[in-house]
Amino acid sequence: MLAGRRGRGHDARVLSRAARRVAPAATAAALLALLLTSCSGAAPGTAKGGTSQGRQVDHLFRGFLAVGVVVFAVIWSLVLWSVVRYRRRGRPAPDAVPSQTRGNGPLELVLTALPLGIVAVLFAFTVRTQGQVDRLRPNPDVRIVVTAFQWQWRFHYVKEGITVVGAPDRYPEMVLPLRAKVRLRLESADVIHSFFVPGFLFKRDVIPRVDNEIELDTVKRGRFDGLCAEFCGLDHARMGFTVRVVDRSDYRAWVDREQGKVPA
Amino acid sequence: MRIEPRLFLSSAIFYVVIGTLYWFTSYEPAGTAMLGLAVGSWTLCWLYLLRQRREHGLRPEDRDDVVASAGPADVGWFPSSSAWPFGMGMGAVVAANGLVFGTWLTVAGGALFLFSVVGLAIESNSKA
Amino acid sequence: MTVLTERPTAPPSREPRRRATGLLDLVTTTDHKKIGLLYVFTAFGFFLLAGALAEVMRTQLARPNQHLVSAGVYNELFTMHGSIMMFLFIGPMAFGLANYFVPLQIGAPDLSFPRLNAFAYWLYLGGGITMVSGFLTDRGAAAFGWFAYAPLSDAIHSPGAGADLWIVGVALTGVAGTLFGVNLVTTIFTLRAPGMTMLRMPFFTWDMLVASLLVILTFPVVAAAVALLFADRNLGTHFFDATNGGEPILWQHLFWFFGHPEVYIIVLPYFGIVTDVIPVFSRKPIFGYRGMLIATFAIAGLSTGVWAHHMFATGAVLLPFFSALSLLIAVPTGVKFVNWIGTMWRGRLTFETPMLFCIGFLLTFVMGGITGVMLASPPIDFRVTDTYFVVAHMHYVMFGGSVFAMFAGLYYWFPKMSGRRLSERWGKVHFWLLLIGFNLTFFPQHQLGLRGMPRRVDTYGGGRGWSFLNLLSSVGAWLMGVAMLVFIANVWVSIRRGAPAGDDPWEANTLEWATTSPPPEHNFTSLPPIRSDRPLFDGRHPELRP
Repeated sequence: MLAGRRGRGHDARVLSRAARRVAPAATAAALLALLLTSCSGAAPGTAKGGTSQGRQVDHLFRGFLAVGVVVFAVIWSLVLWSVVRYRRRGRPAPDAVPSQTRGNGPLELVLTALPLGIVAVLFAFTVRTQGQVDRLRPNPDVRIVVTAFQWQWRFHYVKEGITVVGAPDRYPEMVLPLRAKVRLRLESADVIHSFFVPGFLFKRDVIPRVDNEIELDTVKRGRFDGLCAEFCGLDHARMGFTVRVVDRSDYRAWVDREQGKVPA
Repeated sequence: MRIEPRLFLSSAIFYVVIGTLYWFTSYEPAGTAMLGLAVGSWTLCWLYLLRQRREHGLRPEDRDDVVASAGPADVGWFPSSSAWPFGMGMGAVVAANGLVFGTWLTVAGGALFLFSVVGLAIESNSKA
Repeated sequence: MTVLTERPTAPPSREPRRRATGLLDLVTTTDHKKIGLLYVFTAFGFFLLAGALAEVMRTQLARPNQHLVSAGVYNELFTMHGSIMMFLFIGPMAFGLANYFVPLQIGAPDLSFPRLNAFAYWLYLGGGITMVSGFLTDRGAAAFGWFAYAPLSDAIHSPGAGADLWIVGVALTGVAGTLFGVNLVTTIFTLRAPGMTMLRMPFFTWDMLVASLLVILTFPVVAAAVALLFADRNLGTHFFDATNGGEPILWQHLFWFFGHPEVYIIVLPYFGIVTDVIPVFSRKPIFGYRGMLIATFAIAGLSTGVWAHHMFATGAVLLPFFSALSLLIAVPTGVKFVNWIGTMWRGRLTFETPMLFCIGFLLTFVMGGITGVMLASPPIDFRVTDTYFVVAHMHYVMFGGSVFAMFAGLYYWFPKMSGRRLSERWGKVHFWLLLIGFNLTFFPQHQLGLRGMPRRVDTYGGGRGWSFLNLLSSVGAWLMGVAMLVFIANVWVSIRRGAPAGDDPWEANTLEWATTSPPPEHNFTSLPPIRSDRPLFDGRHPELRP
């Protein structure tokens, strides 16, 4: 039974040697795991940047990510450097302690001002992108009232007079023309839902008594998955929809087809 | 009581600033109400501690230069055991469950809670 | 407590010696150390319960289209996982450690109100059992997510006793926390030993003080909110009922006014632990004591002004105000990192298990901080909120932050509480398994969120690019489970057969190490002179006194 100072010191030295052997392996394993997470390919329905607002968000995110990676690297380097460089080595004299620095006023001030400056810049970019994402312009090309209910969606095209309703086994499809200003008005029939299209890098909650209108500028053809992103009860996970962005001519054809259909 | 009142004064001032800023930028009543109530709470604490400082001045634990034996030998009554907190706790929990399962539970729990509170008060009275 | 300069033969006492034992002792104790242990063990038990619920969820999510449990049960699992972790584990664990160690750290004989202390614990235990008892009801436990958004949480959309039991549980634990907070603040203001000025207090005590002030400010708000919800559900009111003139979004304001400070309540005490432990194993004082203090207050103050950053996607809140303040919180947090690293810099570091967990804390919490800055930007938040990106963020700060620091505290203070040492070897095994397992579980979830996987889904379809990441995450979760078993085994064996610890096994700095392990009733028979924030260090190194 190891007890007392000698036992603890000996244990610590043996273990720190073992740790030194394990640590690089573990770190390598961790980094490998991180890399692996980027390996699985992007899946269909998640085409990035389907709207101009989405592309602004993507730029902003990349900016924040760059800053984040730098901060991460700095902190990890400083911590790991300290761990390696300032490890207690050898058998110290019983009274040996390092220099008992209590602080460094100027350094602390500088290292407070620096993050302050960084977040100020981040805030400025945020405000700019925010303005672009939330902007509502006077004459949208398409107006749709999106009604969310437990547990599906209804899309009502105001001008065209078309209604598309989803069912659990048949996700509704919102067809949109390319290069159009699309205004969506979000309404809830019951609880809070959220209109989320990952391919547009965007979501907005659908809340009773909150008037939410959003605008999307379609810039890319394709099929985009949609999901409900606010937990809304039993079948929240099955409350999907799709958005299909097509050329204007195809859109007109689709509208004509839908308008020609006899209402069910 | 050197720092303690200042802590609450600074907090109260902070909430005055934030609350005012919030109201005039958002006109949102719920958040403003909560921030406003925070001002009130901290101001109350500040005034109370200020009064304590005036009445008692600096205590041994506020001074940098004292020896451990400088304080009073006796700092209060610290019972090591008492049955009443358990009774109060069980009473309150049962009474609260009565909100879900039926008023009879609330009555029973409430009775146990009140009985224990009286017991606690009597215990304090005989010791303090 | 009678303070003397020599050890007497026995501490004087005003009460007749009637020693209760066993269960009777537990239900009648008002000793802060025993109550502290009750909190710690109870909280850890809830931790294991909520962890088990998570293991079920991660097992279901390991592959697409699995249905180990029905959707309804899955919704109960994530609701109760979050509720138990937030209301019944991480906060009460801090209350337990504070209960035990704050009086010791300031040289007090107990908390100011010992019987109130006990009452609050029984409220917590009863409230916790009430909340969890929902699982035993007809319709099962609450299933509306741990933040219980209205209208989903009203009587129409969430019928059944489970929801009401959840409400009662939150109210009881809310009251318990408030009472504890009041007790702790009073203790710190009135029971410090002579010479223990506020600016000499250890950081665990300071951070507990600040956390307690946040508790006092915000727990009553959540108790009031759930009372209104209960009224809507059962008494015919319409506070949050949109169809009758109520306002669902009001619930969110009330809840998050509590909810955001709550996450700082559960992280600040653990910051305090790290701030106490790093100096011991670096053999240097904390770098920038005053700066740390100002940073702590800045974090606490700002935290009460940012609640609506949880509501950015509602379209109903003032975005620039909340975004600016949320970004600002990164600054004092950064200052803390400067001070922690500054303490280690040019120190003489050793890596016993408590220090390993502190290093693990530094390396993982920073990740959570960075993703937090991203979330503070509304356009980015619109993309990633309510997806697994947020799940990753919150677990990096709450697990990588609070839980890693909690383990640092448990390994650090176990000898003081039990008189015995935990096994260093198994401590290191626990650390590495947990570090790898945790990162494997939660790092892939950032990517999952960026790829659009929403939160709170019981399953997902294949072919979306989510399957492999989910599998990695689940493997990591199973590894974390194994790590937990290692810790439990270590504690189980060491309590019985661990090496005797002595008064001060770590050569530490603060007053809890100036008494026996475990401490006697009323804690101290004598106190060393208190001239700085490190009374024991000063005693060992009188030549270094300024």
